[in-house]
Parts: sequence; structure tokens; C-alpha cells
Amino acid sequence: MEASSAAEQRVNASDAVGGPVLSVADLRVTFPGRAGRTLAAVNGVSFDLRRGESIGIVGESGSGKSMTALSVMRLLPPTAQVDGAISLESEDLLAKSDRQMRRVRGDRVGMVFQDPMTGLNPVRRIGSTLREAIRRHRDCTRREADDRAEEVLRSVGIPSPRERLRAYPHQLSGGLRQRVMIALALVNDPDLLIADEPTTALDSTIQAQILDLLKEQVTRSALIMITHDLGVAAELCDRIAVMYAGRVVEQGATAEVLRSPRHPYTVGLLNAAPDFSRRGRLTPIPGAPPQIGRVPTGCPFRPRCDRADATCEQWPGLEERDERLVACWYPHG
Amino acid sequence: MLPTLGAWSRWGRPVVRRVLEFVGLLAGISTVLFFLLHLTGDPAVVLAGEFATPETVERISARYGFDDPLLVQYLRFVASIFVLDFGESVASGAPALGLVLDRLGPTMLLAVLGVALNMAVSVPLGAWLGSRPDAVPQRLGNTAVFVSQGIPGYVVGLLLIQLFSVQLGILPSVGMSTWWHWVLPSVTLASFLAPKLVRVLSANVTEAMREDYVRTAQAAGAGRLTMLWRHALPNAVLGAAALAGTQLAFMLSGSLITEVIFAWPGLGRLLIDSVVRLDFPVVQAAVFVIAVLVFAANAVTDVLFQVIDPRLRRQQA
Repeated sequence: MEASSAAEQRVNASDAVGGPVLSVADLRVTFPGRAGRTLAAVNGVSFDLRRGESIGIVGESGSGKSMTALSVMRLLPPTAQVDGAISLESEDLLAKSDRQMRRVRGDRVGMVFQDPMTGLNPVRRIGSTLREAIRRHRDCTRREADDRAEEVLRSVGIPSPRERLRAYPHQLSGGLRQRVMIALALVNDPDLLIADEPTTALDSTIQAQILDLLKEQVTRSALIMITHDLGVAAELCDRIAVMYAGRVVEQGATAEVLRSPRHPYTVGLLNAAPDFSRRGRLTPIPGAPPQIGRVPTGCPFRPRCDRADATCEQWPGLEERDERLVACWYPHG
Repeated sequence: MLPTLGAWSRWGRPVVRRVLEFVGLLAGISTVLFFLLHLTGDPAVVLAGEFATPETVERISARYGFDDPLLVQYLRFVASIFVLDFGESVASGAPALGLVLDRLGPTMLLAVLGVALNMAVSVPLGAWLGSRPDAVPQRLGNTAVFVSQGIPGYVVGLLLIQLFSVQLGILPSVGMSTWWHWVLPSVTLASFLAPKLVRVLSANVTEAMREDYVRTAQAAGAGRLTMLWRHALPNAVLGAAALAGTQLAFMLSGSLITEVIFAWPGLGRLLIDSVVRLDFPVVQAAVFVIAVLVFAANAVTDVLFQVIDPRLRRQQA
């Protein structure tokens, strides 16, 4: 654990400019299970993020990627136990009171969720939702808030933004609604933007537009991109962390990870993805990811891995090699 | 400006549909009312009463035309309804429709007061109960609401009279002459309506608090109270508005028990008195007026929905 976070910091130090906006160290999220057992949803995730940087957290559903994002926002259900360290601009987020966290959410950290169809309040106008988010964190008049709301809607590429302030969500298309969601997350110029599968619910033509929009945003803040889609991560992120059953199994620069994946799970993901498979055809990974509470000891991927043997009953630890973190006894390359 | 095809499908079609429904309702109601009288046997015997002589029965039969063929009587009855002539009260001789319309004001007053009080109590209570359904105070509250749903309205009414009129002597219990008289009947009516509305609202609030848009608000920095009052509750109330509308429509037909307990001169009491007296013209007029009222209340609720729910509101061109 100490070894991995130390290695992690050296990886990040290579492209360091100023202190990190966000630093996550050995994050662990557990839920109480039956008979006093605890179920680990996130198990030892570490990364640093500087302004202008973006990290893609990639994994299947249940891999802990969304839990990682929600723990930064402190929006996990109350039964969740969060250990490790999360600091924003060197401030310990886990030590903050609820009231202090409310001042962080929507102001210094913005979050975009997956489904724009259900994510906006159906009985409130767009302007009212935006105005509320602005005036919660800024001391300004209604008029000034409207001006800011118009400005941010324009910046996310919504045509005739002033009129849209009076629109209800159902009057907008899915793509426009997701732009509104992004505008809502950006309205107070956050230091960190977290996007949880922001394009999954959208048409593919709209997806590209939303990705372009997020790419623009990266230059102004730091971005955590939660996705199951390696293509999205490749498009947008400097670095990738591949998660499996709550653990990071491989983490490094995007181009490197995609060119020479080390962990068998990453290799499997790439061979199953249309954009990356080098075998000429798609090869699914056999089996299914484990449910929380049924994660095997040692390497969680071992039941689905063609390289696994008895050694894999021990967790290999996230080891650094050539600026890449890999948790595998028998890595590729 | 000529109405366009779009305007027709927006406003014309629904209105025409409503009118056709209304005509159908009148036809159905008049048929039911007609047979209501004839199902009980010879209506002349019924109207003449238990101890009438054969001569009396015959006189009544001739006066109301019960000697004519059934079809002729039916058509005559339907025709009389379309000109709003329900005949005279057997008991008092006054026009039946007039008697009924006199009672409309008090009934509407009580209905509006009771439903308004019901909503004023149910919305905050439902919000509180639904906001944390698993917490201990809310669980106790839910149990209390559940139990109160099982208490009949007349028990509440009698208890209120016992406490505030008999024991404390601070509130009147009979009639409607001052607005002090309105208090106990409204509270009784609201106590009868509220448990159901509270339960629906509380369930809606619990559900709405789990919606994505509430999480979006939380991610934008909203606290629990903002999430509850500004985001979850408006949606929850909208979902319960249909029930509140139905309750209002139902109460317009007169709350039988409340009106009887508090000697409230409303439609419900008139209906009960007339049924007991076998005063069929008044019963027919009352049932007719109630049917029209319920229909109107439902139509108004529908239109109101279009105004308050932005998703149903028709988009302006």
C-alpha cells in the first residue's frame, strides 16, 4: 500500500507543474455486509491530478469507478465507510463537515452525471436551476445570475441561450440537456470537473460534440472522466486507470497503456473494443466480473485470466515499471 | 385569424370530446334515475306511502302519468331532464331542483374548506414523513397516519364535538351561521381526507428524493432542505394533485356523515333526508346535480393539470 502510493507519486511527478488540484491516496470504500463482514467497493485507489490534466477511470459496471467519483464529492450513501485520503488544493475533503462540503460541491468541484433525461428537475426552468446553483455560491443579484447563466450556456454551445433560460428540460433534446448539465457543473468555474459516463446515454454524433466540449474544459480545470469506453478515455485523457472489482489493476499514460497494455484485463478490454482490437476481430473476455462481496482473494481477475496460476491467490500489489503501475504476477510486455 | 389545424388538435378536439362525454353522461344518468324509481315496483304505491288508500294511489298514478307505457314515461322523463324539470318535492311541494340548488352553496363551502385544510396539513406532513422514511420519528408518524386512516370520520366528528363543544364549550357544533361554525366540520372533513393524501405524498417524496435531478441539485451544493422543498416536493405534489382533485370532486357531492353530524344544510344531508322520505323527485334532482358537479370538477382538474405541470402544458407556437 505504501509502496504503491509512493510509486504513484513518482509517476505523476514526471509531468508536474505546480501542486496537484486533487490528490487521492489509497482510497478505500467499504459497506457493512452480513455477519459483521465488510464489502469493499473501492480498494486502494491513488492518483494525483493537476490543473489541465485529465484522468480516465475505466472499468465495467461494479468496478468501483463511480464510487471513486462519488467519494470525491462525498455523495456516497451514509452507510459507506471511506478510508484513505482525498485532498483538494491540499485541503482534506474527508475531514470537512457536511456544511463545508456543500460549499465545495458545485463551486470548486462540478459533476456531470450519465443521464441527462432524468438529471434535470422536470418542473423547473433551466434558468431557475442554474440561478439557484450560482446564487448558492456567489453573492449576486438575480439579474447578474441570469447573465452568468446565459454566458455559461453560450460557452457550452447552446444556441440562443437567453431564451433557453425560460425553457423546461422536456423542451430540449438529449444533447442539449447534457450541455445544460455540463453548464450547471461549470457555472461556478470549478477547479475540478468529474464526468460520470457523460456520453453513454447519447447518440454517437452527439457524443463527439460533448467530448469536444469536455476537452476544451480540461485546459481550464482538472478532469476525472469515468467511463467504460476506452475510446472515450483515449480521446480525452492524459492518463488512464483501469479498475477491476474495486482495485486499480493498471495505471499510466493513455498512449502507453493503449499501445502496450500490461495487465491481462486491460489486454482483454482492448481486444473487446472495436477501436483497439488488433486481432482483427472482437474477442470478449470470458466470464463476468464478480459481484461485490464475492470478489476472490488475491488477484480479483484470476478466475477469468488465462495466465493465472496458484501464485495469483496472492494480491500482486500495484508495482511500478517504466512509469506504469501494474498489479499482475504475469504482466504482458 | 382562422384557427389552424394545429389549434384544432390542441383545443378543439379535447373540447369536443368533453362535450360528447357530457352528453353521454346525461343519457346514462337519466336512464339510471328513471329505473331507480321503477325498480322498486309501482312508483305510485311508493310515492303514496305505506298507509295510502287505493284512491290515493290512483290519483298519484294519474298525476305523474304512471299509467302510460314505460317507453312513453321514459322519453317524457328524459325530455324533462333536458329542460331541467325534475318535478316537485313530494314532501314540500317545492320544485325539486330549487331545493337541491339551495344546498349547493353550503356543500361547496364545506368541500373547499375541508380540502384546503387537508392540503395545508398533508403537504408539510407528507414531506416530513417521506424525507427520511427509515428514521424512528417518521416511522412512528407513519404508524399514526396508518391508524388514523382506520378511524371512521364520524368518530372524529363526535370526539371533536365532545371536546370543543361539550367539554370546553368554545366551538359551536350545529349549523353554519358564523365562521366559528365552520371550524369543526372542516377539521372533521380534513381528518377524513388527510391520511390518504399524506400517505401518497410521503411515498412520492421518498421516491422523488431518489431521483437523479435531486442528486444533481446535491452535486451543485444543495443542502437537504433545498433538495426536499425545492426539488423533490414540487414533483411529489404534482403527483398527488390528481388524488386531491378526486377528493374535491368527491366532496362536492356532499359529505354525508359530516353534514349529518354537524347539521350542515348541504347536499349530502338533503340526499339522505330525501331517500329516507322516499322523496324521489328530490333524489333524482340531487343525483343529477352531483353527477354534473363531479364531471365538472374532473374537467377542471384536467385543465388545471395542463397549467401546473410544465410537461403537459401545451407548447406555444
